[in-house]
Amino acid sequence: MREEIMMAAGETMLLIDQSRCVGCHACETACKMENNVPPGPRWMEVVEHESVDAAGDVALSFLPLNCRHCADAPCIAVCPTQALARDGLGLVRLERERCIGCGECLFVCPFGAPQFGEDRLMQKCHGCRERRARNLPTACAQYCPSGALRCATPRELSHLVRTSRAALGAARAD
Amino acid sequence: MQTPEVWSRHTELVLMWGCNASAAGIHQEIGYLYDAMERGARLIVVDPIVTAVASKAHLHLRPRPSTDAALALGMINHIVSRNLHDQDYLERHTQGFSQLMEEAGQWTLERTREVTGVPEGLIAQAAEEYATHRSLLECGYGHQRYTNGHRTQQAISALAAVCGHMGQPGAHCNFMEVGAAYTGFLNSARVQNPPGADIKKTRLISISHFGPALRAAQDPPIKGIIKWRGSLITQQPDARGMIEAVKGLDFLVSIDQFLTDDTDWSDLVLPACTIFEQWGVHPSYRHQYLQLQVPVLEPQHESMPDIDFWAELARRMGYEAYFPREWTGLDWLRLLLPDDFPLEQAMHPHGPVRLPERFCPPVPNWDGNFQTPSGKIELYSGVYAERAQRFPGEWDPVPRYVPSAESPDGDPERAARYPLLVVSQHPATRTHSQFGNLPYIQEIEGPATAMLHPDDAAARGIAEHDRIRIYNDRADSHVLAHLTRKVLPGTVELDSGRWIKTGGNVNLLIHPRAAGPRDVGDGVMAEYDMQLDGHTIPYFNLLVEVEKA
Amino acid sequence: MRRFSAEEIRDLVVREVPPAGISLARTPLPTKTTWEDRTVEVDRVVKTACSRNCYDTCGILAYVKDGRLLKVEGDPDHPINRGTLCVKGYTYPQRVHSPDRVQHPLLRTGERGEGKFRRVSWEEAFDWICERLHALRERWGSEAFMEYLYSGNREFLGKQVSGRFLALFGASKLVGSF
Repeated sequence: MREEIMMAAGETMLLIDQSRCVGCHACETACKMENNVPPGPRWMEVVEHESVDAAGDVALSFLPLNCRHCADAPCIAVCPTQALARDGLGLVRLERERCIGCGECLFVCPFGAPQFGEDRLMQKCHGCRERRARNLPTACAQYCPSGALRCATPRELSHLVRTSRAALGAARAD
Repeated sequence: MQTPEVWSRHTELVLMWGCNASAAGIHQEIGYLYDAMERGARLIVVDPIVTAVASKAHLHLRPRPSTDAALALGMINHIVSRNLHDQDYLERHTQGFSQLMEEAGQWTLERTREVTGVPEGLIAQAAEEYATHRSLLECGYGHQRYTNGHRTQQAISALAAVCGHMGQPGAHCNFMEVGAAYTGFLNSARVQNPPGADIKKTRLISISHFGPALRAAQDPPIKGIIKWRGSLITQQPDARGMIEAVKGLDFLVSIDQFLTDDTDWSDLVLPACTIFEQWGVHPSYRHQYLQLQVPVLEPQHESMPDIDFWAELARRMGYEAYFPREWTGLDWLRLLLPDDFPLEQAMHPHGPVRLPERFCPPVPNWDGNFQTPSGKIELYSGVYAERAQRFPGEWDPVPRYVPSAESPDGDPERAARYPLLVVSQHPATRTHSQFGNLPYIQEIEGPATAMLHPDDAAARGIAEHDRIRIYNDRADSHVLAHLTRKVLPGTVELDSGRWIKTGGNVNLLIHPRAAGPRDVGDGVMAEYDMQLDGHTIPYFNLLVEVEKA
Repeated sequence: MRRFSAEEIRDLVVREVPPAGISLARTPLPTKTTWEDRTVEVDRVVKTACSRNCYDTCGILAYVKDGRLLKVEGDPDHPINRGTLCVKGYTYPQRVHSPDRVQHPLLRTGERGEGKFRRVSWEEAFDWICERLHALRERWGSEAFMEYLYSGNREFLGKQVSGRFLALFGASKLVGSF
């Protein structure tokens, strides 16, 4: 099992469980529907990676990539117009009125999260601020059919990861 | 079908055969599969392509396309040679084990490897694991898209029977038992044959041989078609032949939501409602729950609900008595569903409901009884033997591997000119020809692309994202190349369902050929038995060559 | 493999599978949802089902606002899809309200294959079809006519209703699968 934890301060975090993701792209269209994002910018994109092991066996892995709302966000540091800032929920918030579309954020983002639409200004995953404020999972997490995206408190997620690790260990021991 | 709430709780191993669970039926196949795996169940996938679900498997067997019957027979032989079969079950609930073994006994691991390309150790390990666990065989349709598909399923089902993995919670062979829709739950006859009407039996036209049937039909020829809920030109093989056939019609009417390949060739195009604008009922063909569709929105623009169209047309053609003007979809539903069915329980704001057990038992065949003449699993089938006489070359009483028509094994002469076999997956982003026109889907899919093995690409001087021409003597299709080891050498993957007018349609290249249980002749038939005659189009029996465009 | 007895299987089915014929709805239908990162009241939420050619036949919660399909979600009480849809299902609002939809009847004006049409009324469309059906039956007999349909909408009611008309008319009958 391999998972990545998207840090978002505040109450909940998004767990991205690559062992469950099958690259179905449902989170992408769900995010578009939820946020009425026009074609073009992809706040969420699932990328596929193909690997070949020493025996020649081929396997695929998938990684849903959106804004990780980093704790030490390089985009905030480089934005020349202070369009990016951390908000009260710990999410990296974009003030589009301040954005000049220079693309600095895209050059430093390790995840390729910043997107550019027809107006050539930056846009990205806002972290489903309203949903989190209402104690709902992010749209991508609620709408994921394979359970690869899960939204919960750090304590809950920690327990979840530990439990599945124990289950995997038990299965291997069989 | 054994219902997934049961098998996911009890199975120790899922053998998923020809089933890209990560793209189709994802809730049932992936959701419940993960439930089982979290309990510690193992997963074995048989699929020539490296799919996402294959990447989650403990073992992945990649047979050359359409050699799956050989693989199943090789597994049976190995299981029996290791004495891992279920002798007690075989004696009590099957017949013909010795005849089966006369055939399967020839499939040594070595010969199985030679035909399928799967390493011997992997075949043996998969067979042993399958036999020694409480195993569920979950069959998709990938392996049946060939002229030998029915024989392949016969062999795979025999594998489950030999191990006694039938009718037990967590151990069954789930294939197309098609659910309540076809098992008498719906009162189709009551709707289609109203009492008092003078209804004559008419000739039958096979949908799996539709283009040839249109060209062959005489006395009378087919001269008018109303086409709805289907893509005639995009989805039938030999799209050009289909267009030629359509040209011979006096009229073609299309009821469609979008301007498709079909509407281009239509004389009249009518605006169709979506599923949110009309009544409906859809008992799944793979699960056991029912929910009614109710109109959620007003019909958009001037679109008309399908049943309103047909009822209005019928009234105008003089059949007012059988189409009461005041009837809504709900009235028609009451006629279609059984009188004792609690309809409101399945309808907004209620539902879904589980269907009555007599139409779809949660654990079918638990008593070891089967719907065959002997009441047993017929590893040697008298019915098939009789049909083998009537339709020579199509059937055998025991499962056999027979190379499929247009494949390297089945047609070496053609393969010398067109050496690559095309497998057309159903991508997650489309249902056949639908959804591909939507911007949200197009940005995920990108331009039409074919998967090529790097070795095949190198031999042809093709690099990643090169524009390529996929061709045979029937047609060509221009797409981009994606070099990947997801496909086996010698195979090309080109998704099904791309429209002709927007490029990358695979069906242009396919010969119109009905596959399976019986020869349908020219497609014009007098008799048809859905259980025994059910045939398909061997979409994956397609040989091509590829070059840089 | 230990085989479960008939009694064990019967007990297990009662325990693990809901009873037939009774609504499985448990979750109250919502009255609001989120959209564009804000909470919105909707006009209604309707339970319906997806009828594509797919195993799952997912239960859908359809959110309607101002006569439009705002959002779709999986029915959390549906035992198969358990609250989620798929990459295709979530595009339904875009599909239903696509500007590319055929909006009214269209009659061909160009050559076949050109895709050139003019707008006509439903009245004209029905007259056009009826005239041709009568002429076809006169000249060739009723079996020269048929429907072509498959699984674009795999819902079962519509094809029974068309089937009633086609049976009465005496059309050739489409059979089989592919």
